[in-house]
Amino acid sequence: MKQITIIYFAQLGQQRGLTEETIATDVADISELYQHLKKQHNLSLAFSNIRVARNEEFCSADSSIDNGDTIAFMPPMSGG
Amino acid sequence: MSPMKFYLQSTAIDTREHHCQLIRADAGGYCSFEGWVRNHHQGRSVSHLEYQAYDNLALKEGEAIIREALEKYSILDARVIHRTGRIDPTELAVWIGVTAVHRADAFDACRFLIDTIKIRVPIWKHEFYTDGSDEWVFCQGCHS
Repeated sequence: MKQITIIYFAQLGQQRGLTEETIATDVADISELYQHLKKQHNLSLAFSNIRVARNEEFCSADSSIDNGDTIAFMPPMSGG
Repeated sequence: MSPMKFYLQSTAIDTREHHCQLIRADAGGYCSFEGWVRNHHQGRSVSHLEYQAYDNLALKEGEAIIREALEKYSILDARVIHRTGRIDPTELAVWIGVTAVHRADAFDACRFLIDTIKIRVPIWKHEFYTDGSDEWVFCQGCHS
C-alpha cells in the first residue's frame, strides 16, 4: 500500500467535506484513484472535467502514483 | 533565475508600484487590464467573492504564461497580480501590465494574458450572493 496526500480544490473540497487528507491506496494510476474517490464521496465532476497535479506539476490521467506523492484534483479554473 | 513577473496576494493591489516597475526608456507604449469585482452575475446580486488558489502551481503556471507572451508577441515586459481571499465589489481582482515598443503588441499580449490566465492558472472564484447562497463559478465561455 502507498501512503499519499490528496488535495481537493473548490467545489471538490466542498463536496468531500475537507480540503486535504492522507490515505493508503493500491490504485495504479491517477484516473483509477479519482474514480474510486468519486464513487466513495459522491463527487459531482467527471474525470474528463478536472485537471490533476502530482507533486505540484500538472500530470496526465495515466500518471503513476508513488508512495509519498501529493495529488491535487482541480475543477475547471475560474480566476481572472 | 529571472525575476518574478506573476504574483498572488491577499491584500489590495497597489497598481502604481507595479506600473512604476514597468517604466523603461525603450518602451513606446503601456497597456493594462484591470479585472474588477462586480455586484451582479447572471441576474444574481453578488455580495462578495473569495478566490482560492493552488499557490505554488499557480505561480509556476502564471510565470509560464508570461514567458509564452514574451515569446509570442513583440513586447518588452509584463507583470500580473492576482488577488486571493475575500474581495468585495469595486475591488481589483487582477491587474495586468504590458510594455512594448509599439501599441499593437501591447494590446494583443494583454488580451492573451487575461484570456489564458482564466483557463490555465489554478485559481477558483467562489461567489457569495446577497440572499445568503453561494456558488463556485464555472466560466463556460472561458473553457469552450
